[in-house]
Amino acid sequence: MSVNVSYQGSDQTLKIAIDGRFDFSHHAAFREAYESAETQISSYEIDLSETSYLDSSALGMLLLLRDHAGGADAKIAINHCNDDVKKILKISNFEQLFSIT
Amino acid sequence: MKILIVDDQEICRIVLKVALKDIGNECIEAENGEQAIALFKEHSPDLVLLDVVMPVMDGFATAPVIKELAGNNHTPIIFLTSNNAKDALKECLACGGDDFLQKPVDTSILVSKIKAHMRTKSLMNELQDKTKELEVLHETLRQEHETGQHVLSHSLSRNLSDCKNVRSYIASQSTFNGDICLFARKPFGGLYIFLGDLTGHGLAAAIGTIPLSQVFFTMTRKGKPAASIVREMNRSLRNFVPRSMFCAAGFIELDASGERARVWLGGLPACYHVNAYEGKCNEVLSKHLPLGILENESFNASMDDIDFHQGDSLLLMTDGIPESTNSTDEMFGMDRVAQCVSREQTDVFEEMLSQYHSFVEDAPQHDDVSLLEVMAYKPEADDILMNDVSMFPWKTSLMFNEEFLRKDLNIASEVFYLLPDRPEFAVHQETIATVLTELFCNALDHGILQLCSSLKQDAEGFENYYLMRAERLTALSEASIEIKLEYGLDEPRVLDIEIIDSGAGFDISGITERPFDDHAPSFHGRGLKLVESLCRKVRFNDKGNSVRASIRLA
Repeated sequence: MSVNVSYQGSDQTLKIAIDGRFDFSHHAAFREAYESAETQISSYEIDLSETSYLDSSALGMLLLLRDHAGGADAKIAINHCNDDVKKILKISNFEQLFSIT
Repeated sequence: MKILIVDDQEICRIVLKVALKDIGNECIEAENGEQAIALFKEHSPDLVLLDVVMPVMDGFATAPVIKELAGNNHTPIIFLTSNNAKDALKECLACGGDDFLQKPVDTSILVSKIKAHMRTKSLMNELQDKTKELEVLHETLRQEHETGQHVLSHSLSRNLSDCKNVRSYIASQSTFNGDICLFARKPFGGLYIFLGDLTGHGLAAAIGTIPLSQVFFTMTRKGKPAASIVREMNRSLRNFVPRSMFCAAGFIELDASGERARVWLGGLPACYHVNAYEGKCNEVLSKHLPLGILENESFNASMDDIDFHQGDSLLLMTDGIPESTNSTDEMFGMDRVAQCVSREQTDVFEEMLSQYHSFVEDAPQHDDVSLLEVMAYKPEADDILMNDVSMFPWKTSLMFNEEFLRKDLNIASEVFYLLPDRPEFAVHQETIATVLTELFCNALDHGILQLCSSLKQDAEGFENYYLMRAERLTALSEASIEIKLEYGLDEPRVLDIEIIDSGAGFDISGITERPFDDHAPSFHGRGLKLVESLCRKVRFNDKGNSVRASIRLA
């Protein structure tokens, strides 16, 4: 279980990858990942390719990131979701708030 | 050394005996062939000195019998003869003798000849010992191979054999294959496909397929994400096999719609995406190191997403085809591979195989050869593992007291271990986990710890909420949560989860439909909605400290 942060290219994309279960135990690490960014970040990518599961507190955390990144103007892509994760995001209508693939 | 002297004249025997005893030999004497055969049986001498002309049974008649008795145990026979006619001497060797010596015998020449024959004998003995050893080793190896084959074939017994949309060509160089090809269905439809090529070939390489196949079957059954499976296969291989061994590999995951593929390639030749719609063929290059080399921290499991349309296919191969050589030692090479896939309007899989076969002809195969073609497909209902559903009903109950609750464990995964190891539970693992986690979390956070979700208004509120939660959890006394599980009691294939907490409960009339606000979504209050949408029904008791959710596992 870990949160990995990396910067992508020159367009200031912050990539956050979550490994394992995405739940409230990641709260501090996830917040730290975007709040401690040193440069101006223009877009975010959440890589869930190794996330097996996410719960409702993770949904809350994604919304906090959206708020931090400018609310309705935020550019956040949630990528590589497995079917189960996608199902949970869909049930919560998150595709209206994030770009989900 | 034991020497049998056969001569009818006593004086001759005495002369030989004296000379031979002087240099430390033990002598046995016979007066004719018949006696010689009897004594040979009794004493098994190392060498025989045989007179030709004797009463009762002569030397020429005796030699073949002695040779027959000696069998595989090489026993030199030296004929002693006074007849030096060519034919007589030839007969000495023809009837089984190894040498001859003129009478009267020159003892110094005799001693030299005996020494020379003993050297041959010891070489023969050595050879025979080695042969026996070799036979034992050969038999042991045969038995070990038999066991190996049994184990390896069983390690693949869970391999899916009837994939309508996959064609494969697999030719191993020896009995054992160091290439491994694995297929499994995803629980909700879709496919996992793995192709690996372990260092070397034969048994040593084949052994490395065991950790790979076991991880593959265990994790695919639970429908784990492809990237996690690849990562675990890397970890397992690294732990299992020597450092010099690794596995060039490719992993393809087809999703349930059949319209998207994910590809991970480590150390294999490029994979080809034949795009039927656009009539072109794209290379998907290997971006990673083979499995079993990197430690997990530095291992990269990221995959390429590929849009996959009806009529498209992916072509995956080990280095067997590109590195195969023909009779003039010329290599097939990636250029020929690329030519095969770029030919328009052809069956690329068949084209590649026919080009390969006509190139190598009957040149010997040096490595295992594998070629896979995965076609886009529309999944059918029977692709989903739904036919094998256990029917007998059961119920169980778990009680967690304050001591356990303080540990703040992952309840869902703990409870999941208690569920039957059957596909219908594996398939719905995530739904069951979500319902358990959300309801248990509500019972603990709100029911027992009396935390209010409305705290979670912003990032600070989130922080405060979890700080307060940790404090109250540490100070927790006299509390309990009970989980009751019932399967198939009221209705077949329905799992009921009931969670009862020792808290004061809440006013259930407050649970009303909260409209989803697109512009200002709330950071909390999503858990119960999630549960309601996953379950057939969710009911609270009047007091609000007990909730029952029903999930249909079908």
